[in-house]
Order: sequence, then structure tokens, then C-alpha cells
Amino acid sequence: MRKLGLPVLTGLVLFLGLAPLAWSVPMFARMYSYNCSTCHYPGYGQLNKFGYFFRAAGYRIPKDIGKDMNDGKFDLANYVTARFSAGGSAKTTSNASGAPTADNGSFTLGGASLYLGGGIAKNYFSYSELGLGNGTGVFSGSAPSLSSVKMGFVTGSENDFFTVRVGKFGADGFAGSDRGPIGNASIASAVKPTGTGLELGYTHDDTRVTLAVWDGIQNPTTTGLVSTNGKAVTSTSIQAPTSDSNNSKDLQIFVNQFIGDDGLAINATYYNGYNAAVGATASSGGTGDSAGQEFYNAALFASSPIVKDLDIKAGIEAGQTNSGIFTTTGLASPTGGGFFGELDYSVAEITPIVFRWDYTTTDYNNQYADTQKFTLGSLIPLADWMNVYTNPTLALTRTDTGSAGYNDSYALSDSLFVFF
Amino acid sequence: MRQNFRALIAFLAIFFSLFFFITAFALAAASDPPSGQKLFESKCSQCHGKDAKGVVKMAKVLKVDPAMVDLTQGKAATMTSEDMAKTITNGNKKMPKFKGKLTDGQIQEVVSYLKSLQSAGEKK
Repeated sequence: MRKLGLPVLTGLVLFLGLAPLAWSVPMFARMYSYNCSTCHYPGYGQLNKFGYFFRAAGYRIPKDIGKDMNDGKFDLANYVTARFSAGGSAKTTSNASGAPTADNGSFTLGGASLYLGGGIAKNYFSYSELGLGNGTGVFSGSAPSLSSVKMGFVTGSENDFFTVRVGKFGADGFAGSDRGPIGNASIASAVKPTGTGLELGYTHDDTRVTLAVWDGIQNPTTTGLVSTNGKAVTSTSIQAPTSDSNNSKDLQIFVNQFIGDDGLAINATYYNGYNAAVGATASSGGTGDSAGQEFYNAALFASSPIVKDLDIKAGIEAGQTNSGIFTTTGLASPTGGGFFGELDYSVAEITPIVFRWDYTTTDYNNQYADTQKFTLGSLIPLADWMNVYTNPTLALTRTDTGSAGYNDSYALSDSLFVFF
Repeated sequence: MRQNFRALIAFLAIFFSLFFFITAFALAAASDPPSGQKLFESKCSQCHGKDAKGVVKMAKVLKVDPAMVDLTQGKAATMTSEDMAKTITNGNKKMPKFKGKLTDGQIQEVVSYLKSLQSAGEKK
């Protein structure tokens, strides 16, 4: 038996690999004996109003602020969740210029994350995510990464509470809103920067406001939006997302307002970033100004029920480089960004079918600088007893190349996730 | 060197998080076994309300008929204690199952308390 120890451990370590995403974590449901649908609608990774304030109050029901968690009884299972995943994709591309692009496919086996967190004692909470690997290829990447390590304090009453969070924030919607789109949410993720910092939050009834100071990594709009894993979408990015040295302190202000209880909500974000690397690397597209480059992104999102089981989400994001609240010239009109619309139809509990349209542009004044993406997908629970679900997606991406026409790519992908 | 430093930071972060959890709960005073009322208020009242009449706001969030969370009227009011215990044990649609989370004895305590709430409602 002892001989098996090292191979098994090695296997487990190798089994860890996918890039971390923000999904539901069953440890919170276990703590309160809840179903997943108590906090999530229409699918995993999307919070309903109850789930939103559950998270805001430090992974506890807001009325439990100031009370010992689980009556003071400790159960490790209420604080730990493991996730394993595997997935594959196939993609074909046709170019307007006729230049061939090889079809490609991929298979990723062995992604995993270990989540540790929850409400602690009467007023504290924590949330950490440890992942191994970078999620590309089979077993590739083995360096452990802490994509999220946060400690927090909450005080107040059910309808009126303050929070302080300190640590490394992952692209999990923290300080943002998980009421954004499902799927390949490039625009929604633009308001989910990652970085190390401090966030102050205040919740009053259905309104939540946060102010955060980050050692942020969000890219300027000229280099595109950021994807769900916090990395730059465009290849022309001049800023290494994982390098703290390329960034100075960024500022984010966020407001979320629920209207009623059935899912109508609106939220706004202003992100003021500073890219220190740009000034020093003018040849790479920077300003050459040793002071670096300031930029901003602003976003507005809304979600609303339409009829029974059918919901809509929409949003717009816009920004500008060499502009911001601290520059001598002040705020300038936005040049880049995008918008999206999404319809979510709930086929069954925690089982949405999603149709989504994304439009992104690096220059609103240039009609040939845009990319459109049409996505049809679903999140389907497969086995309730062990939290298994699959995420099939079909996506068409159309990039405008000017007078030559469009480059089109069709991608079919699926992922399997298992939570414990 | 930098990789080693990051690995050390990662290890320390996890170690201290675990230490913090365990210490916090070790220091928490052990309480008496909760009664049916305490169990109902901690496990059920979020949706059903302390008076078992249901929380309309929560019903809207969960997208269920408000009558479904009112345990003093309709189908719930006519359920036998045995059926109630079965529903609590195995769950029903959005109602979570408490099998393995509450003992049979605790479920019986909740049922008894719920029956007392229903009786009190009828007398009024």
C-alpha cells in the first residue's frame, strides 16, 4: 500500500491543470445544507440575488453576520472543495484572403483546483484557490498557482453591512458582478481584473458599492479586453498579465443595484488603470513617456427576466488609453470596447441553454477593427450526487479584415467538471 | 529563486489559512444539541420563515410559487408527520435533502416543532 503512495500522489499532482474559472463551490452549500439552485440561476457560475449577497456578506447569510458559523461547530468539508476537469475542442477557420489556416483541436485532461474558504467565526471569512498547471494540452504545466487568496471582515446587520477584503483577487467577479454573461464572456471579464489589493464594500438593502485599490493587471483597451482567465485576448498585448512589475496601483469603483427579487439588476463599473511598462517600451506601442500610461474602462450591465424561464443579459464596455481621472487632460471619449446580448433559457434546474452575441472593437471609429462572436451553449448537470456537469459550446467568431472581407472560425468545445 | 519564494508563500498562505480555521473553531464554545425550534430556525427559516408562513421574497428569488414555501397552508398543512419527515430527509425539487445532514431524531424534532406551529396557526 505504501508503495502506491508516491505514484498516486504524483498522479494527483499531474492531474491538476486547467486554468481556474469562477464556478460554484459546493462547500458553501454544504455549510447551509442548500441546493445549488439556492444561490445559482440559471446555471453554475451565475449568482441569483440570494447568492450575490451571500458572497458579499462573507459566504454567509447576511442575517448570520455576527453569529458563529454553523453554531461554532467545525467540519472541514464545509470549507474545502476540489474540482477536476477535462475538455476538448475542435476548430476550423476560413480566411477572407484565402490564406490557409490549419484546423486544430485540443484535449485537456487533468485540470484541478482546490478551494479553501468560507465564513469564519462571527465576522471573518476567507477564500483561496490553489491550481496546478496552465490548462493547455495534456498534463502540461505543473507549477502551483494561487489564483485567489483573500481574507475579509464583515460587520453590520442583514440589510446594512460593511466589508473589507484584502489579498490576491482572482478573475472571479470579486468587486465585480457574477450577473454577467455565461460562456466565453470576454466583455464581462473586462470588469473582473485580477491583482493584489484592498477592497472596501458597503451594502444597503439591494444596493452594493465597492471601492478597490489593486496592483491590477487589466490591459488597456487598445490591446483588447481580457478573457475569463484574466489573460489578454489580443496577441498585441504589451503587458504580461502575470507580471506585477508592469503595473502600478489601479482603482475600481463598482455599484450593483437589484430591483425587485426576480433577477432584475443593473451594475456599473469604472476601472482606472496604470500601465507602467508602456512608457518604458515605446517601441512596443507605448507612449515613450517615462511616467507610463494611464487608461480607463467603464462598463454597464443589466439582467432581467423576460417571461418564465427566459432571461436576458446585456452590457456595454468602453475605454481609452492615455486617459483617466489622474491625467492632466482628464477623461477622453472612449475608443475601444464592446457590447453583448445574451438570452438564457432554463430547460431545467441549473440547466440553461444560452445564446450570446459579442461585439468587440479596438477602435469605435474604425469599422474594420471589430470582432463578432455568436455562441450557443449549455451547462448540463450530469450526476447530482457528485456535482458533475458538462459545458458544450458552439461558437462562430467573425473578424473584420477590411475590404477583403471576414475571417470566420467555427469552434465546437466541451468540458466536463467534477466537484467534490 | 523567485519560483521557490512563490511556492513558499503559497505553502504559508495555505498553512495559515488552515491554522486560522481550526483555531477559530476550537475556540468556539460547544453548544447544547439544538432543539427542533433551533434547527428549524437555522435550517428552514430562510425560505419558510420563523413562523413557517414562507418568505415571499425568497420564493421570488428561487422562482417558485410563494404558496410552496408556506407550510401553514395548502398541501404542507395536511401532510402527515411521516410524509413531512420523508420530505425533509429526501428533499423535493428546490427543497434540499437533509439526509446525512440531520439525524432521524433531529428530523423528528423539526417535524414536531413544525406541527406545533401549524397547530398554533389553526387555533388563531
